[in-house]
Amino acid sequence: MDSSEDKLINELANEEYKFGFVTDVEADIAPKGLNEDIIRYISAKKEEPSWLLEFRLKAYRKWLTMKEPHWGHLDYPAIDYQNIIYYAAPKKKNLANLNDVDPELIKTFNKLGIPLEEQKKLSGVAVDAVFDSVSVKTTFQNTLSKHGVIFCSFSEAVRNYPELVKRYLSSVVPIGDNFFAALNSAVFSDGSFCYIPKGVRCPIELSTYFRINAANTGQFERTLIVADVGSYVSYMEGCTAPQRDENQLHAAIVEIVVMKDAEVKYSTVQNWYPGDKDGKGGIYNFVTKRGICKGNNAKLSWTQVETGSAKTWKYPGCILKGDNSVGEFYSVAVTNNYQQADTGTKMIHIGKNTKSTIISKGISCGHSDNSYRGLVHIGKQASDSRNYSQCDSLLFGDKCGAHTYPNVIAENNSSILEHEATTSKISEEQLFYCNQRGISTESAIGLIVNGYAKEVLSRLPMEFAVEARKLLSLSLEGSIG
Amino acid sequence: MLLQIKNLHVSIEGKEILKGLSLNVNRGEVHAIMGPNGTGKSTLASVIAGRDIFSIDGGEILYKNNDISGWSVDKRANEGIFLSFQYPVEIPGVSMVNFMKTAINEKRSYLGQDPIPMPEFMAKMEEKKQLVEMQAKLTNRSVNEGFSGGEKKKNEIFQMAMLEPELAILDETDSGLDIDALRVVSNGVNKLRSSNNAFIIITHYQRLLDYIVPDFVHVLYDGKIVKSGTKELALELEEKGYENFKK
Amino acid sequence: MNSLEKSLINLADDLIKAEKNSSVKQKRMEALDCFAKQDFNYKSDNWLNAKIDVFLKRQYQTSIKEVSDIQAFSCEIDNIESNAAYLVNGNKLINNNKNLGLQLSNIVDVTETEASTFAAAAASEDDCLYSINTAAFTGGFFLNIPDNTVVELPLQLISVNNQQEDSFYNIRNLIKIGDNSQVKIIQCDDSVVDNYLFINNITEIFVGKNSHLDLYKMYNLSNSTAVVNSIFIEQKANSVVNTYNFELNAGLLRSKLVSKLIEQGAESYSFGIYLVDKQQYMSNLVDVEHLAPNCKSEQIFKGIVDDLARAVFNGKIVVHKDAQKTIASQVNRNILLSEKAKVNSKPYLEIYADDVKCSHGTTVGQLNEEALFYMQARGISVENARRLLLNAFIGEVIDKIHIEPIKVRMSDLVKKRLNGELSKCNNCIIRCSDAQLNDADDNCIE
Repeated sequence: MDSSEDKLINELANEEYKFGFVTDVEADIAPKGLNEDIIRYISAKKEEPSWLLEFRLKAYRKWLTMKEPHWGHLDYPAIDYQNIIYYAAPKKKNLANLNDVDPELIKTFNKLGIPLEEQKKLSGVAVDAVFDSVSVKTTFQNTLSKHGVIFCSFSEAVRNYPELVKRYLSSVVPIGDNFFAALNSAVFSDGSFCYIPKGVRCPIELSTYFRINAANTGQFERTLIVADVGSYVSYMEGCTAPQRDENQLHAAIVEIVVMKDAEVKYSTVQNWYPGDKDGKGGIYNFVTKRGICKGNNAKLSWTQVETGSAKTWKYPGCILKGDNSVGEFYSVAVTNNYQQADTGTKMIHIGKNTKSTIISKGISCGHSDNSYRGLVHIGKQASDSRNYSQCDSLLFGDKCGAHTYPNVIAENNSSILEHEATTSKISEEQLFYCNQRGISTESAIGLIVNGYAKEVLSRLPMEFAVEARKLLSLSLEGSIG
Repeated sequence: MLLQIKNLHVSIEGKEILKGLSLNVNRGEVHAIMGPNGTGKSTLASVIAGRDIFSIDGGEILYKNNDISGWSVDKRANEGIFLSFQYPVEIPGVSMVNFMKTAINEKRSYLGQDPIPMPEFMAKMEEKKQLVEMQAKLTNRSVNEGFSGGEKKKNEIFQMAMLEPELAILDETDSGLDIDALRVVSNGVNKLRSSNNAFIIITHYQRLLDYIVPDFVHVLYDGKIVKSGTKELALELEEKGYENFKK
Repeated sequence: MNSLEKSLINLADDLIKAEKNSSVKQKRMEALDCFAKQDFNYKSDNWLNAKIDVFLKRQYQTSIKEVSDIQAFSCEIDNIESNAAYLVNGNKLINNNKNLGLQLSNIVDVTETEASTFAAAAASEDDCLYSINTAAFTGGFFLNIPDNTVVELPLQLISVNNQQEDSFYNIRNLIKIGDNSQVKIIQCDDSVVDNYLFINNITEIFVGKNSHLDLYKMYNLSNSTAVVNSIFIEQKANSVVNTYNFELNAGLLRSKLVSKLIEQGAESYSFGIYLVDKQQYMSNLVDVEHLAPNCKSEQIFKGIVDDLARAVFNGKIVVHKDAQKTIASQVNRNILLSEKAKVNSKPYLEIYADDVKCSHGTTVGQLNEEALFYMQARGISVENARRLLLNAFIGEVIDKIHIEPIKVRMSDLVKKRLNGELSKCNNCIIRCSDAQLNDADDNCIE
């Protein structure tokens, strides 16, 4: 390729991260570092019951015995866990009345395109807005409660529905599941809780919007979704963070329980600050997401569009326990500049006649590394099960990497497992064809990449799809030629 | 003059393909370029369109009196040069609607015009589809993906109709077409002919010229135009073969 | 430290003392140092090495024994025209061929210059079995093919055991092929007695410019034999290497093939079949490193896994930064025949160049039910239909064989194997006496 490519790569590098501003808001901030006192401090701040404090301490003690995982295709300096602030909260509390929310916060969310005022709310989407360690506001609560749907911040759920929380907390991701899960279990600050009662089809999309604001803080939120027998919910998650030179750790947990005949769709548009063009700053996004299809005919679908974060370590998984249950994973991951993403999924087939589908589309640009890592395990009892995986990678420029690490295990003889992967670059012929129709190289790449990712993008709820498409074009803008 | 090619020398990977080709095309004219395989017909088409895998070793291409050697492929397209591909490429996941809308709006933006309003665009799509008797619902089909050979060629002419070029180059548009498809494609082209545009039709066979009657016929052999004439030349070629035109 | 480890270190010490070739001596010493730092066990959590430990826990003699007479042996390939050489009990080379136009000798006798590339491809740090092999190999084939040499007849390199005691062998082969040369090599290990054997074999191959190598490796060993075989190939410009792995039987088999395409235009094709049943355990590691532009590689590995057996496939294609215009593909297909058979497949792609076409695919499944039904509807019994389909499944790989007698032999063996004809007894498929059968049952692994 020619020098126009270099020029375009430079242009992209200068592309601003549009959500990099900082909100000036008075905050409650815990002292730096992690020990049992800090955990007690967090628990006390949140006025938690003693069982939850015990849960945290148990997780902390477990965490102390564990080692940070380094098997990912990621390269980052050792994290100093004593140099992180584990709790930061805007001073005014989350209240039903919007007048009590700090106007600065409302402004922030407006700027992010997430209006919290009743009259301006996103139509058809209920939002739980989480700012640093706490939930600021959950919209549409009244509408939801009419249907018996519980959708609130995690702290509220602990106060109002302790039995539900107790029953399902860590039932999918055990506290010692992995290093970052243990850390989250010890220090998680807030997050969203959602319960869909039996037979209820949640009438609107639910959404959590995460915003990291304070400096030197980690974000450790926790989401718990329970879809009871025969229910349905579509859940979306978005996130942004200010532009800072230092790296910030985000170690979240999402747990999803899907009962018999229920269905959960979980969509993520991940746009944490990715660091600058030289790889300085950015979020370490080390997240554990897992759901269980507990009953027969349950269905869980993960869709993710990953464009942000300096480092991503994330494998949304499905445990297909119920017979005939279905797990899906649709992913587009874009890495640019010095970003590194190691992401994929785990499909654990336990029940009979279970099915899983994996569609992963990686796009690597600049000096980045983009890895798909996946496990498909069809157990002895999971007779007549099926998996289909397709992992494609597109490469732009000769300084990036695209890697595929599938692990396929079959333990019975009535199941079928298929995995396919390809790696290539955008073909010169396609670009020439578009150019000849008067479409500039940049637009052509946008078109072709959106076409390449279409299978995944089309899975997103309408409200998100538009944003995701824009984000995808933005992440690639000018990157290539 | 719309297009003026002077003593053009072109090579690829050190191999010389065009060896001093000259050609003049005025608005309102249809030129047919004929010749056996491997004599540089498709190269000529690609070079006019601006494909950068070829190197231009000598001569010049003037389009609307501009030397276009420094123009990018998309600039040439937006200035009104259209190439109907011999082998149209498939672009998975990109719908025809989205593709055409992007192309039209880029041209409009190049010309300093506002984007085309959606209703106007959809009406235009419908109208031009009629022109080439396209059955396919284009809204949900990806560019050329899953199209049969004939559909692909019709799709090229359809795009030509949408983009309204001043200079259209048809590279072996007739190859692989059955007689019905050939008739449809030719009708489409004939309807688009006007005093303001010009066509260069590259073909191996005389058959297409029964339907699209050229003003001039050129014989391309070994990188050069060895003979030019009117439509009778094509018949002569058909009869006597290319052998007589060597040297 | 178990007694095997102790005796291997003693053996290495003795060999280092006796080693006259100073560069090899140096390599042996470094490797022994490395071995001393490594754990001599494979208690890792991956499937790959899971059963090596079971075999390593046994008692083996490791010292070099004098060789008594040996039976003629030709890897049981009928009607093959070839030149054969034997390595007996891991140390004694028997080569009665004359005028081969190449050098074939025992690796322990090589000169300083001949050993220039010794241990250049196999790194001791990677694996304790590599380091102990380098430190304590007792013999092996050294093959040196000059430039511009076409070796007409296939060369059979046969390693035979005729010792009554259970033995552990470290065998080391070094093959150097000059520029513009061509050779076909058939390698197999076998034993004329049925005792416990652990064969730790490393072959390093250096292929010159424009040269062609076909390498056939056959495993048809008793259930009391464990083989860890590692082949490292380095290819120069425009060379073409075809490797064939036929894994019919062994108590444990770990086969590793590492191909490095170090210069432009090199091509590497690897084909493998594995038929695993009873309580056998076979693993294949295929690692292809594209280090230069315009190279091509392809791997097709197919396996049928039955009974309680396990098969592992670990593939890896690495396309390095400068290896533009690489074309690489890897396919692993498995058929599971029993409820308890297991397969683990990890086909990895690591790509650092952008102008590449790479793909991999892996499947695990069963015989096509519709095809079975169709055949039954034509009057073919289920058993025969199954056999036909399995033969067809393996046939794709068999068809790639370039030497006719091997093709015939392999398709015959595969057929017999699939018919169950090779299973004379429960636990072992070749030359198994009743007494040994009982013994094998008692010592049954897992």
